[in-house]
Amino acid sequence: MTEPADAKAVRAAETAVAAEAPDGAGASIRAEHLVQRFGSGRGAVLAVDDVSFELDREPARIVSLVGQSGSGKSTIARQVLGLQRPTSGAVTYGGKDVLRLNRKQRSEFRRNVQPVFQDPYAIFNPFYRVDRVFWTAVRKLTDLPNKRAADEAIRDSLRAVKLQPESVLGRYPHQLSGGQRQRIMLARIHLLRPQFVIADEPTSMLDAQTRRGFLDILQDFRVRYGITTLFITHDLSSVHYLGGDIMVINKGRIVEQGAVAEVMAAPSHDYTRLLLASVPAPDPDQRWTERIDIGQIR
Amino acid sequence: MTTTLSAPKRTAGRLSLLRRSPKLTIGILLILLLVAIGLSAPLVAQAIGGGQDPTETAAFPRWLKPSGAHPLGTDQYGRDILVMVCRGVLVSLQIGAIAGLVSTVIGVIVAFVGGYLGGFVDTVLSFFTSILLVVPTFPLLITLSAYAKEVTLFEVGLMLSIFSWPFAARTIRSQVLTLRTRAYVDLAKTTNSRDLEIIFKELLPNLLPYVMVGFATSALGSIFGLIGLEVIGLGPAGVIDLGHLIFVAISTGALTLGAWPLFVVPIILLTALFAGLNLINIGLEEVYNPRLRSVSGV
Amino acid sequence: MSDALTTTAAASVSDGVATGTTDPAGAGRDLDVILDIADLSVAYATGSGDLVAVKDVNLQVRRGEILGIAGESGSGKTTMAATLLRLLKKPGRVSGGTAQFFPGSAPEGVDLLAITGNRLRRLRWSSLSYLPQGSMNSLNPVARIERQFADVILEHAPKRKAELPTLIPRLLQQVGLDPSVARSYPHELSGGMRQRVLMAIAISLEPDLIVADEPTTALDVTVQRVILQTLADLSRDSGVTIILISHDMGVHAQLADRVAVMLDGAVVEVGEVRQVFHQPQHEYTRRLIESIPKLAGAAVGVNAGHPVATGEDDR
Repeated sequence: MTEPADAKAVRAAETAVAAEAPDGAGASIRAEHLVQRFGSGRGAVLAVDDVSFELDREPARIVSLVGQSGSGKSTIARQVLGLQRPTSGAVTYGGKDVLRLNRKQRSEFRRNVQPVFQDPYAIFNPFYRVDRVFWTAVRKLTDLPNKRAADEAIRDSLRAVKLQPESVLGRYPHQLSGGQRQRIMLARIHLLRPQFVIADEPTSMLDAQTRRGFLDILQDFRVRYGITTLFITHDLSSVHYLGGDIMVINKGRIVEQGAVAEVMAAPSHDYTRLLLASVPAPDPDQRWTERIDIGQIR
Repeated sequence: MTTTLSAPKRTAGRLSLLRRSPKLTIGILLILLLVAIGLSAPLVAQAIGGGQDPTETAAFPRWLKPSGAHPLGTDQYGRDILVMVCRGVLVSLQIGAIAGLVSTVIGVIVAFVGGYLGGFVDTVLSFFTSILLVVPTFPLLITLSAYAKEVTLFEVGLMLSIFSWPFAARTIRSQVLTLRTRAYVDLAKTTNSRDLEIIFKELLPNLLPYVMVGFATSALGSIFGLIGLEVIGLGPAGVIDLGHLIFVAISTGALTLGAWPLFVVPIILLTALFAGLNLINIGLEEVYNPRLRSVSGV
Repeated sequence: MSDALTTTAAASVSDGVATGTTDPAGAGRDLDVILDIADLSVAYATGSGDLVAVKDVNLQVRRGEILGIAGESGSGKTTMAATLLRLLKKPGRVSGGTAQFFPGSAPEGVDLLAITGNRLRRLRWSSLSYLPQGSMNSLNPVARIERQFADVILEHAPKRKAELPTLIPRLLQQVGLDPSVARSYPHELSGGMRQRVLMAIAISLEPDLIVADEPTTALDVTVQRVILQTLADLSRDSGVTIILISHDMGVHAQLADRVAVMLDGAVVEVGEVRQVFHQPQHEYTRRLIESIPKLAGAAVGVNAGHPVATGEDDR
């Protein structure tokens, strides 16, 4: 319907990316039969139920993992980041299990796979100025030769996400807005230039306008730096705005996947249809006419 | 809305901590006053004894009434009570400091190792902590003191801390448990920080208030544990703290002989000590525990 | 929820003398208006002076309508709701204005900002009720649902005690819940079910006006649709007036009869929902509507022949 204004520019630049990308660095992330069970016995919850997918380095894409709360999508994000040990199955990076990497491999993995988390408030240690987020990253994950080069790179990255370096550096997290904090996380990504970004509900706590700016930056990163993003969300309109691929998850299982445009135009699974039908259209002339019953009782 | 409103309040937070919590301020002032009294002991001794030790046996006549030369009078051996009280305050504070420090260090280590690593280690440590928490410590202290007649101040502090560290450990562990799931800990992990770095740089600074609460609680417990022993005449010989003075007052019938200061003054000082440490405890909790914070916008 | 309300009510003991119940302009007022907010301003006292959260708001709520209040976080919409419900906490305070409320029980009108004590207490729930954002905090975690109903109902209408056994199941059914939910504890229910319980409590005393503050924000999109459906049913069946506060323009488009848009504490635009969406008068409204990416397949309906059984998730 309404195509994002800069969609054309995105498409045009896409071809350029393929040529520009470093050759050979094609390590991909594979999720292989991931299962996550929490608790045991009668109270056990199967949060992730045999989920497999692959994130490729080239061509850079945005892959959205869409599901409602409790669908297991955040658990998958933690598994992919190596923060949560799956009950069975594995996440591999460049063919190796991310939980069994040696020191060198882990450092390589961390350099190339970076998160953006949901809560822009909890992501900062309240004890420190926000600068520390960059400096720890510089120290641990980059080869910047000296302090001056690092400082320059940090400022560049802040400007790249449309933040004034002077207005955020030296501040404490509580002095910044949610949108600013989430942009700082994007600046951190810009600084590190990973191959993959695992973004777990990064926009769910942002206002509509701020959200759109955030999504534009993700798209920009893909086009400019060839960053593949696993975008985990419950918000179908963001997914539509971003384009790329979609995986729909319900109760720990991926029920449908494919290109966003195709899935949204012709969803093949009932659950996908239900999700799409439930998004309130921002148009009083497109009010819901039929009733849905999701059999919620017990 | 909450964010914009709370921002200016928290900006001023770090500096006006004391202004925001009168309890904390009064507590700190009380403790400082007691430290000043304790530290003034040599000066007071000089002023009253004039070069000689005013607490030597028969330095002055027995049971002198309070007067200009002896503001609090003398005891049954002719020792100056004011000097004894000042020294007693210092000894009590030292016992509290030693026992508090040792308990806090043990408590912090146990809490962090258990709380952060979790699993089997945590189960064992928690079990051990809980056992010590439910063991009736007072009879055990009595038994221990029977074996320790000639002990130094430091040894007494150490002995007392054996029983007070579980309190510190429990307070801090529960906080570690809530903090270790914070997004900034995950971010540190994905920045390739090591566990020890996360414990010391991410978690510990945020736990300082709780560490201080643990310290104050342990110090308080130790000081009063020792007084409990001394009042019933089981205190270690050679350690003359405020509790010992009270014991002397009771056992010699000082009150009936008109030497009331020997009984009353240590009790007043102990009350001040108790009030001071408790006010610090409550004040810190109020400032740092958001659930106890009374006002927080809409 | 009921706790918060009763404590606030109990805090002000005196039954105010100058309660401003008589409206000098009352004779000429439009009978269709149930709530007339005039020049309402609310400020928060901060260390560095006052922070104005609501600025000179003039707004008429018509009887029986669903009035949507839109705006982003920080626009003052939640503060305004709290003010109308008299739940505004320090350091916030009303710095000016009135809010004349014309419930069935007091057709001559009362100023919501001036009444205190017992009068306020009587008005709450029975004339004016509150549907908060659905979260665990809104229900008492250690009481069964039926007791939470009973608490609210008996507090405000003690003589209805005999009716309770039939009233509670009826209310639950009215919001699409099974009557057996009455025996549950809040933690046994999903987010959507808890939100419906809150809705049932809000309508239990047949109020004239419900203020719903982001009632679906914490919920999944499918659950949100069902909740909105239920709200629309309530409005249609019982004629209750609803003030619906939401940051989601989609929600307003689906549900509201009229929409008021707030920006920095002021109402910048009020109008019929179609007019606001199709011919927004204010630049900000236009931006607000534009910032929602529209779904290509918005017209995709649920396959009517296939009832979709998904079940709400419990977490």
